[in-house]
Amino acid sequence: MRALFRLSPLKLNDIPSCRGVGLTAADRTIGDFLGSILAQFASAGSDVPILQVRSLEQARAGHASVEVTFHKKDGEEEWRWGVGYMVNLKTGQPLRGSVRCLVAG
Amino acid sequence: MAITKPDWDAVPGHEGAHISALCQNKLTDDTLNHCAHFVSHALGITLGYTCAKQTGGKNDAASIRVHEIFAACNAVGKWADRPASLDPCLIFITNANNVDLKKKTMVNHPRKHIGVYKGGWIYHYSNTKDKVVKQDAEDFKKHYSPPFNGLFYGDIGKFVK
Repeated sequence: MRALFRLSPLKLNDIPSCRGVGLTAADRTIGDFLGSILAQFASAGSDVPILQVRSLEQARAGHASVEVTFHKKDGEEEWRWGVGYMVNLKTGQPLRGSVRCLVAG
Repeated sequence: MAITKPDWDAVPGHEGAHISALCQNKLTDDTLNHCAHFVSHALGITLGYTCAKQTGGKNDAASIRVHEIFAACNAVGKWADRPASLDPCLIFITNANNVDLKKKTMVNHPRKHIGVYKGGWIYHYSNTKDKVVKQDAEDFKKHYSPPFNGLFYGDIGKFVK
């Protein structure tokens, strides 16, 4: 999560998978994007975990592949949106070129 | 960007199918939203961000974002203004305030959904039933409560690779 916060200034338009994913016209950065998802998905009535952090695999030597997603169920719909990235396991630093916006729907 | 000769006639045959029956790239987690994903696999829509890009899969790639498909349509409009001859076509539901018909854009608000309209029926992926379902337009309009129940059509008929 510390690595994710370091990624928050990255501009959405500079990342191919993140172009056009802003939930509002004001969403310009990864931080804006995650803030908007949280605002939309947070619900006191939720019966499922809102935040999921998954370390998936060692995508390359010395690095972990991580997904931080927000989950929402509402009526007929379900979403899990967030960001994927790689982290250097030795330094804890995120690999900036590895960032992907995870949006489906 | 491509939509390759959409096979509209095959769409009804997907009723009841789980997304894993269509996607070979293993983007099949039931906690994900598969509405655009289903439509894209069913019709061969490959543009913008795809299931293959998300998983690193090497099989047929399908678009997974509603707003990217909307923007790529030949023509879009309010469902009430759909030309009678436009059957089959795509159908979208979202807040009308999130759609700009002149610019052919849709905001990436989570409350948006897409289906395939064919012969009076709408085939779409139910993310709670986790399968393709069939509804008429009146029932489809209840997918979201107002103001998120604005209906729009999308014409992709002229797309070729």
